[in-house]
Amino acid sequence: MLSSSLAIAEDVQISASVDQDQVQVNEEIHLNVRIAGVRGSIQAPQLPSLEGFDVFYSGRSSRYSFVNGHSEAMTEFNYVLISKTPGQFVLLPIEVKIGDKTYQTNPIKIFVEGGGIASLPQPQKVLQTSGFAFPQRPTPMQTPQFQGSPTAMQPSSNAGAQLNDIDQNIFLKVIPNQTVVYTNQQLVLIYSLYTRYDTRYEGFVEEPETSGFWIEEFPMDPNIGKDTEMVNGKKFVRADVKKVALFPTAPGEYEIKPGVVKTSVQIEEPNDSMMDEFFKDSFFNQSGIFGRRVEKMLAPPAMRIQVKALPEEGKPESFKGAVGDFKMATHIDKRIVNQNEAITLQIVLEGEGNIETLMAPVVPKIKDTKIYEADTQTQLFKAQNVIAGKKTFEIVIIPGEAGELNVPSIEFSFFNPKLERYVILKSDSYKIKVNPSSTPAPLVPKELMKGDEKKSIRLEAEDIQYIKERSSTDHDQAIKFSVFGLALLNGLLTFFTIALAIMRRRNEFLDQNVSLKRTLFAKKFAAQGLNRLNRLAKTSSQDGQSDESFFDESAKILNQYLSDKLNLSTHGLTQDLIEQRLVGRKISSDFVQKIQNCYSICDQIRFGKMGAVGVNREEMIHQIREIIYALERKGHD
Amino acid sequence: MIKKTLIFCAVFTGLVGSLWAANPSQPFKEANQLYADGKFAEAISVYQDLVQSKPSAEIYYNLGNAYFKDKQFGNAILNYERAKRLNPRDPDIRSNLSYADRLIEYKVEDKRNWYLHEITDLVGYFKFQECWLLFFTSYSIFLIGLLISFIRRRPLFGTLGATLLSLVILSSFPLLLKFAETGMKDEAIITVKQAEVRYGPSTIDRIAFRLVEGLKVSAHDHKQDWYRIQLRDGRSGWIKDSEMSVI
Repeated sequence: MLSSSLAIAEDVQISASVDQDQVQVNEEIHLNVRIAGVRGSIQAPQLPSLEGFDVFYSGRSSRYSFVNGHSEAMTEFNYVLISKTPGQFVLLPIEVKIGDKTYQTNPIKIFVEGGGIASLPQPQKVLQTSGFAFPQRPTPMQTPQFQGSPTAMQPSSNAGAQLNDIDQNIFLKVIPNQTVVYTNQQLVLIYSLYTRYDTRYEGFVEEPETSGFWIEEFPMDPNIGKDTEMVNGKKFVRADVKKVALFPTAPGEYEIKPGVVKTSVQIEEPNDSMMDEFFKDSFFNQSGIFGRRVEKMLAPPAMRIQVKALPEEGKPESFKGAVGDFKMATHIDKRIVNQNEAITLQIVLEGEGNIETLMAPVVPKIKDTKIYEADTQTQLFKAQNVIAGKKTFEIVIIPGEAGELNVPSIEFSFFNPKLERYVILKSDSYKIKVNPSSTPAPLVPKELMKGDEKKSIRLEAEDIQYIKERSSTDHDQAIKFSVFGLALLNGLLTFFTIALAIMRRRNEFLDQNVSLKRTLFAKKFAAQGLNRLNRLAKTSSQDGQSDESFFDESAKILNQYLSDKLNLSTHGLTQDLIEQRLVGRKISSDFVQKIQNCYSICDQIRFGKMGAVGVNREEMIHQIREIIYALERKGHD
Repeated sequence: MIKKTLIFCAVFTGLVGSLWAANPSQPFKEANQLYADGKFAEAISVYQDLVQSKPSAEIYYNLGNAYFKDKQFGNAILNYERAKRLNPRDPDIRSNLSYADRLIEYKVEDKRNWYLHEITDLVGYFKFQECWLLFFTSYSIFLIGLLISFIRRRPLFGTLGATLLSLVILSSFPLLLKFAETGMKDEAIITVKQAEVRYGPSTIDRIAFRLVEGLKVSAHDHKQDWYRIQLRDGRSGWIKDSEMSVI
């Protein structure tokens, strides 16, 4: 089905461009509307009103390519604009309907300079929406009414929406070249305007409804010929304003509504019979000196077309829906190649028929050879009264094995509606010499890679980068060591931080609990005192002065320890108070007696000046140490 | 005492980190010469011995090249992948891996969310060790700041403390992403011309689909001689462990 072959990519891109945006009056501007991302039948763009220009449709071209594994489709519609008046113009966005969506191009500014090629007649204000020029000054003639012809009506306020007032002096006739066709066979509709007025064609206000057909606009000549024709005894000026090629997509019976065309005519004022003949010259017709201009809407009646199915009998296997009359030519670019090097086979199909939807002929599979469909180009042109064209397919063939590659004959078949039978075309076969090569086959051959518009350096071949001749193993080791070192550092830092935090908290707590702190640190201070005693004990024992200072220090250490341990003040510490507290802590009386003995020895030597009789210094240190240890043990119990 | 310890740790880390010199070993040179002479199978053998004893990105890369020239594309891709893990930003490794990937006739469509693509690409530019290094460095700075504040008896979390903590949290993200990307599963390469992926871990189970040499899969589970693998398009199945190699 042709209509269902419309493939729309996610990123449809519509753009419009002109070859020059600054021209002289009557100079040509080439307008190009490009639609990318859609493959298949696309409706012609809707051109906006182009005041100050004559517009001529100059054909379309389409291109399909397979790039980097993705397909790309592009269709271009071309128009010629001829500037009529000087000034600055803005070509409003051009609308293109694709599927259910309508896309718009950007507006384009055009500057027309006056006084250039100005020998042509003064341009009239022409509004065109279809791109077909109408002969500007048809000569009104007295001709009879065309029997059964469509009617012309006065427009209502909403142009084209309502029609009224039958006018027998102007009508639009739509003539199909045939009413019974085969599926995919070309059917041409010719829109002929018959008028007896000075008429200006202003385009379609209602597009033709051609559901079930794929439409191809007919390229028209810039100067459409006008002719005179007798209809029902009256002389009319006839101009073909539009030609459309239709391709039915499926068999059945279809109704075509030709649409509504807008024109404006010069109505001659009555009672000027003397002047009439004189001023009926075309030179004056547009001046509107003796008349007024009114709009006429022309709506030809619907027509029915019968579409026959293609015959099953004799249908070749290679048939893929081509209907018309075609020729095939093939060309191969190389006869000697290296293994895994691409060869391009070009297949050209040319003729009349559904060129746009022609599918590439199948290239038979070749052993150890990859075949890709690379590029497709379509050119459409007018051939007498039908649309003809040329479609070029590029096939990339990559031989995988060395030796002789035989590219077999390619078969293309089509149905010829004139002959009413299928025709099979066969190309020549080719023999290619393939030299051995170590180049691996690329996944996407460079022939399928599309380059930018600016030329870039061409990659001749693709391969892996060379081996590395220096090893940086130690560098990796350095990173490993750094990570290890940092991990170690972090471990230590974390430990210190936690320890420091605990210490800080402990100190804060002990600062608030002095009695606990004294108890906890009593042993530590006592141990420091015992160290001092040890040093004093080593001084000369003959010296009475040193005995005194030793035992004085012993008493101080004992005082300090007991006051810390029992949470008493050092000042005013008496032996009775010590005894009282120790008994309170359930310390045995023997142990208390031992402490008091120590005190009494110290006091005797300190105050009695008796000298160390019967007690040596080591024994005193020993006794104090025993007292400390005993009390510490008791504390833990 | 604390200051001395800190200085010692810093000096130790610096010294360890600066231990670096580049001298290719003799077997490495020999293997390179074999490769240059076109003796790829022999070069593969020497490179294999080297990666067993002292693996490095360069040796894996050269091994990948030797496999590629020996037309063992699966093993070539496997070793390029291994080289990329050790040196993810090396343009040659990336180029060869990309080229070898393009030679695979089939492709697996990545149906994961776009952000997973982005994360994979981003994380793929960094080594695990680099992520650790970043994290440890920022953590060290934070801890040193914390210690100084302890020693000076300053408040623990002022503006500087909050900034340093934010730095630690931020620097932990690449590491977490790396773990999420590669730490949770094993990635593997198909190393046989055609591998059959079945619905269960036995030859009795029906074949779900076939994979070709060089395709990358994620290995999630291991049972006897079979691996449960998953493709990036979500399809999964069981494959013999002899038909693939974990990167």
